Amino acid sequence: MTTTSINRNNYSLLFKFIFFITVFWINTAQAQKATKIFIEKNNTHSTLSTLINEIEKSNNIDIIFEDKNLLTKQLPPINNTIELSAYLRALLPQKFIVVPSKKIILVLDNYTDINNLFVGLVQIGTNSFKAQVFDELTGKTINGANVFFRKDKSGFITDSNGMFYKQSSKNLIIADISFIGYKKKTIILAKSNLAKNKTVLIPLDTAFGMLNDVTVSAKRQNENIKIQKIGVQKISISSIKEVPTFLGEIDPIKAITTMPGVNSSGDMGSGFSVRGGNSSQNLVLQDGGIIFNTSHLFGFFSAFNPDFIEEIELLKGGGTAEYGGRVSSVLNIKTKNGNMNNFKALVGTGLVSSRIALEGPIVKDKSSFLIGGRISYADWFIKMFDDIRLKKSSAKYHDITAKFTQIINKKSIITLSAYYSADSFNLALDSTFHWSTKNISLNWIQKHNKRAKSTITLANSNYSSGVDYSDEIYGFNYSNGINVVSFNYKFNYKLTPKINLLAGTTNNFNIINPGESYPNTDLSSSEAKILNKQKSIESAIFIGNDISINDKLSLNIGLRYDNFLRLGEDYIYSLDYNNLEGRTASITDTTYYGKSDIISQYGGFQPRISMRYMLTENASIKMGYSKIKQYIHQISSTTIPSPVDFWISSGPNLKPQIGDQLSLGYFHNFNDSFLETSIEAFYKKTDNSIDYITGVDLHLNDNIDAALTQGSAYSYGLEFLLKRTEGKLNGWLAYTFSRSYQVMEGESPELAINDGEKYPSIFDQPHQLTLVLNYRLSNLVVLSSNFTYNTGRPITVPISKYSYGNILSVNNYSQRNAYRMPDYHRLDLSATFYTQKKPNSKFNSEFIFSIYNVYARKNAYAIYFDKNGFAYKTYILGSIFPSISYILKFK
Amino acid sequence: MNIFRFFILLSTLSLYSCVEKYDINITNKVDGVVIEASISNLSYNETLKYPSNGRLFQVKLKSLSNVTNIKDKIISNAIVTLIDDRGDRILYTESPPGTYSIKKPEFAAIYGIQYKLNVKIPSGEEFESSWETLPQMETELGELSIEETSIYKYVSAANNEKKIGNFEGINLNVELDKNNSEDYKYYRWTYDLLWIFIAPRPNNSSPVKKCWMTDKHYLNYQTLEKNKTNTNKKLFFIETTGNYRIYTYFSVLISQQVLSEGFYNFNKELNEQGNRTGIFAQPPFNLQTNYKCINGDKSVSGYFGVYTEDMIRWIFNKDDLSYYINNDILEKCGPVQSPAPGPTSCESCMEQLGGPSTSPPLWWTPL
Repeated sequence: MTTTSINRNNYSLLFKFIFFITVFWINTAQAQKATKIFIEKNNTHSTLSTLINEIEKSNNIDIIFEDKNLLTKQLPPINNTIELSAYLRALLPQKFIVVPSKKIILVLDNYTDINNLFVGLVQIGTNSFKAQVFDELTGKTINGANVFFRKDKSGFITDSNGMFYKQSSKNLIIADISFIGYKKKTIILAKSNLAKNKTVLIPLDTAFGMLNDVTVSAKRQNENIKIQKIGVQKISISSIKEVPTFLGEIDPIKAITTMPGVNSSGDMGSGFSVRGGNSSQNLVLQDGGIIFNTSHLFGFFSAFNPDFIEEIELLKGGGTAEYGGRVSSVLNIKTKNGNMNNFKALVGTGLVSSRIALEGPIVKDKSSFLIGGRISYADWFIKMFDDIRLKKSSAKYHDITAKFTQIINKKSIITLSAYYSADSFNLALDSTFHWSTKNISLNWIQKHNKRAKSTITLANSNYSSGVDYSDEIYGFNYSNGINVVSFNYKFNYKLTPKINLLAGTTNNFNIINPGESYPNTDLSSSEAKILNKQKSIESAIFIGNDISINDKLSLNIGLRYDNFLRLGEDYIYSLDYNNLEGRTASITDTTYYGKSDIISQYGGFQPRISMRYMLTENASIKMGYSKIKQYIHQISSTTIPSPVDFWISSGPNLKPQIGDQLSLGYFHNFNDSFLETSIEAFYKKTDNSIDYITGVDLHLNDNIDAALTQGSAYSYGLEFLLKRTEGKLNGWLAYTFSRSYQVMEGESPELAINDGEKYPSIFDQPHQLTLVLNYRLSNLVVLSSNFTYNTGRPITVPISKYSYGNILSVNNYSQRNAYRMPDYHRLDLSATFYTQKKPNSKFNSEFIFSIYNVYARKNAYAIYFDKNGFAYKTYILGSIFPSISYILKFK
Repeated sequence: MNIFRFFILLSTLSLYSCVEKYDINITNKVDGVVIEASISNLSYNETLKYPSNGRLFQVKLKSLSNVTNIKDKIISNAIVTLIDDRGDRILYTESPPGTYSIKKPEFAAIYGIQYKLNVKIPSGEEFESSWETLPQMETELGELSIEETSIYKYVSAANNEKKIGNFEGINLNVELDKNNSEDYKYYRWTYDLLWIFIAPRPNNSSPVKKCWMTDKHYLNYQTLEKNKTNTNKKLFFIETTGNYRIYTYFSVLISQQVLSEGFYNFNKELNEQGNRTGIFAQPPFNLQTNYKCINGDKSVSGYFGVYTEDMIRWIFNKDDLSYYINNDILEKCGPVQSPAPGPTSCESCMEQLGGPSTSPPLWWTPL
């Protein structure tokens, strides 16, 4: 399939190649003329200005003077015919003449090293210079690169789109651009009537094995030391790509789980756990829209299309005051904007899926689009095999991501992002599990002035999951879901150079479908059951300050106030925990709440504070505290998290979870920050944590509140990170020691779990180790490895059995989570081959060969038990998984 | 095979070879006892009247087994005593090993009296149940009625395909006790079958011509109902097409029991627990117990139930149906004197599955 598509493209590529050669030849021919400009003797021009004007007009070149005043210079008589650049050198001996291309001559005030010099042209008529910095090899924009302007000794950091702007009335500016991992580059941006674009694209070359050539500013290098926030993990898309892939699929979530304190919520399971918390305690945002399921194909692949990701930021502990609603973490994913100047395309194909992405300008420098998607064809491959189990199985997913960006004016930008994904799988059973996400978000960023900026986000996140049991006699279609409409407003104001103010509001209107089931045919004996929808509004206002008290001490202080309203229409049971009915509280009354009636209200202040103290230029200590409330909760009705886990809302019988987290960290960079180290300690306590009451049925339970018990969860741990950011050999070693416990004393003694004693949560994995190593064999070949070790997850197992009456085997189980699954460990390797990017090349490609699970360990996905108490280990990856994927990029 | 196809093959096959038996190293083995016991307001003598062979109140004692064990290990030589709140004590007699019975045919639980079971095992541990009492004075089995209906179920077809068939049968419904209180009533019905199978080929004088079957695998479940209102309850469904059990004689000794809430929940969870298997099973749980070890921390499982009971022997009557039931055994076995071999049960009723006996039960009176 891939081969065919490439062959079809060969004609197109051939055409492009011929076109490229032709254009190159024409340019060269013209250049010959431009560089051989001679000034005739006895020239009659009295000033340099008139001479230059005539030469420019007659030769279609541009001669740009850094010092405009030079043009007024009176010309001495010219006695001999002389070549133009030689004449200028003779005329202006103090100046430095550079001929960077065949059509441009620059007259600079000072000497400039022309090695690795980049000259970009900006259209005349603007009072500013605008440029975008990108990776020469991958084409990705570079966020956070340092731009230092030599003349006025000022600097910028490129924004999230790799852009920087410089207001200047001058003809040209000279700057140095540097970024960690890239060769420093000197750039000259010059205003020219030959310029075609308003924005200059500046490529940076990666600094493979050239450490000595890389000079990056201390500010950038020490970012991990200097930022106030603790528990922040940023991972760039380039780092994500270097983590070895499963079946060639680049997976941002798997890359996140290589960070300390983060691990997968199951072996190939969906989601991830942060510092011992549940996966549902993580707020995952993509362009402001909430993502409720981060996985494809039951956790095989991530729901996020790597081609669209600009940056991933994980805030362990809930983040700053602008975030709320989840007690464990915030994963903020920003998608990139479409290219404003050039059309680009990317086609990638792997063993089980392919992807395509297109981007380009709609109106140059004004608006752009970015659209793409992925589709799996695992289903097609599975059915190719002559195996009845495989033929009865299916596994498929697809997703589409689109983004429209409109620059309204210099101060205003709007983006509209849309995301749709759908999954289903069936492993030789009559049950098909499926889940789907439909998100749309509108972001409007308005810059009021140099100090103030507003961001408005309108989003709708619609997630549903279910299982279809296709049996004709007993079949049913079960589904649940959550639909959230969000309106957020954020206002940034730079009060003083040392105080940044952030204030705003977040508002979510939630409609939860806890579950409904219908018979799938007229014949089916399955009964329809529909649980009432749960509606709620989560509103919050927040204010936060970044305060630099002095060079050493910096603070981030925030306060958030939440107000949660559970709304009707619904029937709410009054529960009597002192009078149990079976395993659960008895119902003493039922109250009907009409539409929009307030069923219950919760709220409160949630302070956030983080502090950084610089011990030296390369070392700092940080401290953070956060309080967060979570009002909606995900419940799993099965022994392991499954795609059909459902959400429910807090209410009169289910209090919000309240998380308090304290963390302390020491950060130290060595060797000019090429080696980053950190150690962070945390203690997290979650009040009103939720677990199920022993023996209850959670599936389609219309009294689900009574089937749950609330208590305390607490976790603590130490996280170590050793990261080499540069060099041929780079990567990181992350180790976490942590414990995660729960104490469920029960609303009455009978509801206590494990007699009210502490017990490990299912995310208690004391030892987590990850070693990611990348070795740059050359500019074009990167070898990567990833080794992961996690202590096995706690489980409840049958420890004995007995017969009783007609029942031949009754299992007698251990205390909850008293045993563990086998430890998890895995080694993955990959080699990425890049094609050499040629000047003006319209395409480049990547070829990724990866071996997942190198020593073929059968890591347990789940352990389950039959009714006789026998244990069965389910492993998704039973062997070594080699794979190949190919990515072709067009420009 | 090219490399691409090899990778596909390797990867895809790996995805589906994914379940294997797993041995869990049980580090904290629990030494425990299982006590299966109940009493009701119907004495042995009274149960004979329904008619039946009679039911003694029994206690079965066994040890918890390792999950890999197949057979239970019984506990012999225990001292099992029923104690009531008047201070009366009744000692159980062991026979056969591991099974202990009250050998007083007139004994029955009395309303208003509290009972508890005390078990002392040879290793010295002593277990005692909580005090239990009859939940109500008496229960009366309401009127039984049949309802002609049909069900859909899968049948085997050619090429190992499943086909849906529609099968006629009857529901047996019972009218429930009047419940004048606001409280729930907790019902259980158990079934004890007797049916007759007549092998077609032996002559009438043959000892293997007619067998009495006490099929332990048919209707071998209990029906539970938690009820506040007076309604009819479906007890069970039996097929009337191709069901060889009902051709000659088919009766069910139905025991209707009113349980305490605790004993009801125990039985409900007993039924449910076996269904919670597989990856996406509901979370596991242990059954609740009303026993405890009074001189140690040895684990104990089971529930001492005290319930009110009424019985009836319901006999299926083909004439109650609106349609004719065809006895297809004769067709399946062929002519009586045919030399061609038929199913073995055609030649001998003792070959028919369902616990055959050539002797009728003790209470049997000729039809």
